[in-house]
Amino acid sequence: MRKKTVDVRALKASGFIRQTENEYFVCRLRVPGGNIVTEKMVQAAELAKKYGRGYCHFTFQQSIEIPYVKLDDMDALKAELDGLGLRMANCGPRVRAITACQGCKVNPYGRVDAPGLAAAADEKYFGLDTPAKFKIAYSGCNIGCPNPQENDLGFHGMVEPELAPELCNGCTLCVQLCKSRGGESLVMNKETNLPERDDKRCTYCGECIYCCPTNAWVVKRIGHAVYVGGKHGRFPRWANRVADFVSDEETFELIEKCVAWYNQNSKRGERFGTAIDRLGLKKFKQEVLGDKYTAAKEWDVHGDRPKGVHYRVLHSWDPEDDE
Amino acid sequence: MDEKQNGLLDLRGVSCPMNWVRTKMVLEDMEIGEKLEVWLDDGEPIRNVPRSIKDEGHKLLKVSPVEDYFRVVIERG
Ligand code: SF4
Ligand code: SF4
Ligand code: SF4
Repeated sequence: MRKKTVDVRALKASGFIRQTENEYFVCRLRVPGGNIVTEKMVQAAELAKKYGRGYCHFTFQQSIEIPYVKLDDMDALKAELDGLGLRMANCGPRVRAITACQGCKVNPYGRVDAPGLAAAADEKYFGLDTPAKFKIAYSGCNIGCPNPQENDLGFHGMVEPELAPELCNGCTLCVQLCKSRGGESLVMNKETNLPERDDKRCTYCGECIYCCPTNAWVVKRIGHAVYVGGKHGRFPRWANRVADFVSDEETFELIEKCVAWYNQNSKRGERFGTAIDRLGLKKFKQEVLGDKYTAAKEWDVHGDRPKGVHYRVLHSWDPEDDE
Repeated sequence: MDEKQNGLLDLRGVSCPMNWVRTKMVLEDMEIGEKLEVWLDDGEPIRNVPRSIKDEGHKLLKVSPVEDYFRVVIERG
C-alpha cells in the first residue's frame, strides 16, 4: 500500500516533512520575506484545525508549519492549499524560502526594501536544486536581524552619506548618533562647526541621513553588502563579505551566479561555504564576482570576527551537510 | 500647565513616546522663536524625539552629551 512506498525525499521537496512520530507529517507553508496577508493566515489556521492539532509553528526560516498531518490526509490538504493559493515551502538540497526583516518601509533603521526584494527573489529562485540547502536572507540594514552572515548568501542594506554643508546648523546630533551605531566616523570640526566623516570608520548605517534635523546629509550611494558561505548548525561558518553597494538587480544576478558556481563546483551534501573553503575564496571571487562589483570594505564591524568562530576547521565531517 | 523650569524640561527616565508628548505640550504653549532645553536619555529617546521635533516643524539647535544623557536645545517653529 501507499504507506510502505512513501518517498520522504520527494515529500521534502514539496514541503511535507516527516515527524518524529512516523505516521505524522509537518506541512510547511511558504512565507517569503515573512509577510503574509491576513486572509491566508486565517486559512492556514483553519487548515491546522482541520488537518493538524489546532496550532501552527513559526519556523526560523519564516515559514508557517502545520504539524500533525496524517499521511492519509496529505492529498486532501494539498488540494485545499492549491485551491486557496497557499504555497508550500520546501526542505532538502535546494534554494529555501527567502527570508527578510521588515526593511525600510516599517523599521526606522531599514535602508532597503528587504521583504520586497526577498519576495521578488523568491519568485525567481525558490526551489532551485543545489548540492545542499541554500539559504538566502535580505536585511534592511547592517544590524542584520535576519542574520545575513549566517546564510549561504546574505545581503544587508547600506548607504553612503554626503554632507550638504550649507544646510547644516551644527547641532551635533549626527555625531552623537553615529557613535551609538558603532560607526564613530563623525567628529565636529570646531572651526567650521560642521561634522566631518572618516570613511574608513563609516559602517554605512545611514543614521546620520535619517536623523539630521535639517536634511544636511544626503544619499551618495545606496545598495547592499554581500555575504557568502555563512551557515549555523553544529559547525557554524561566518560568511565572507565579498562586495559592497550592489544594486537590487545585482542581488538577483549574484543569486544566479552563486547558485550556478555552487552547482558546477560542489558535490551533493557539501554546503556552499565548505565549497568556498575547499576551492579558495580567491577562486570564488575571480569566477563569480570578477571585477564587476565594489570590493567589500576592509575595516568593518560586522565582517571581522575572531577566528575561533570558524569552528568548521576542527572537523572534516559535517552532519548538517547531509540534510 | 507649565512643567518646564527656567526653559528646561528634564525627561530623563521618561520613555518614548511620553517624552515627545510632554515636549510637544510644552512647545505648544510657547511663542514662535522661543527656546526650550530638554534632557533626553541615550538610546531610543535621543533617536526619536529629535525626529518628531523635525517632523512638527520645530528647529533643533544643539545636542550636547552629558554623561549618559543629552541636552537638546529646541526652537519653537
Ligand atoms: S536588520 Fe535593520 S531594518 Fe531589519 S529589522 Fe533589523 S534593525 Fe530593522
Ligand atoms: S552612515 Fe552611519 S557610520 Fe557612517 S557617518 Fe553616518 S551615522 Fe556614522
Ligand atoms: S545632524 Fe545635521 S544639522 Fe546637525 S550637525 Fe549633523 S549634519 Fe549638521
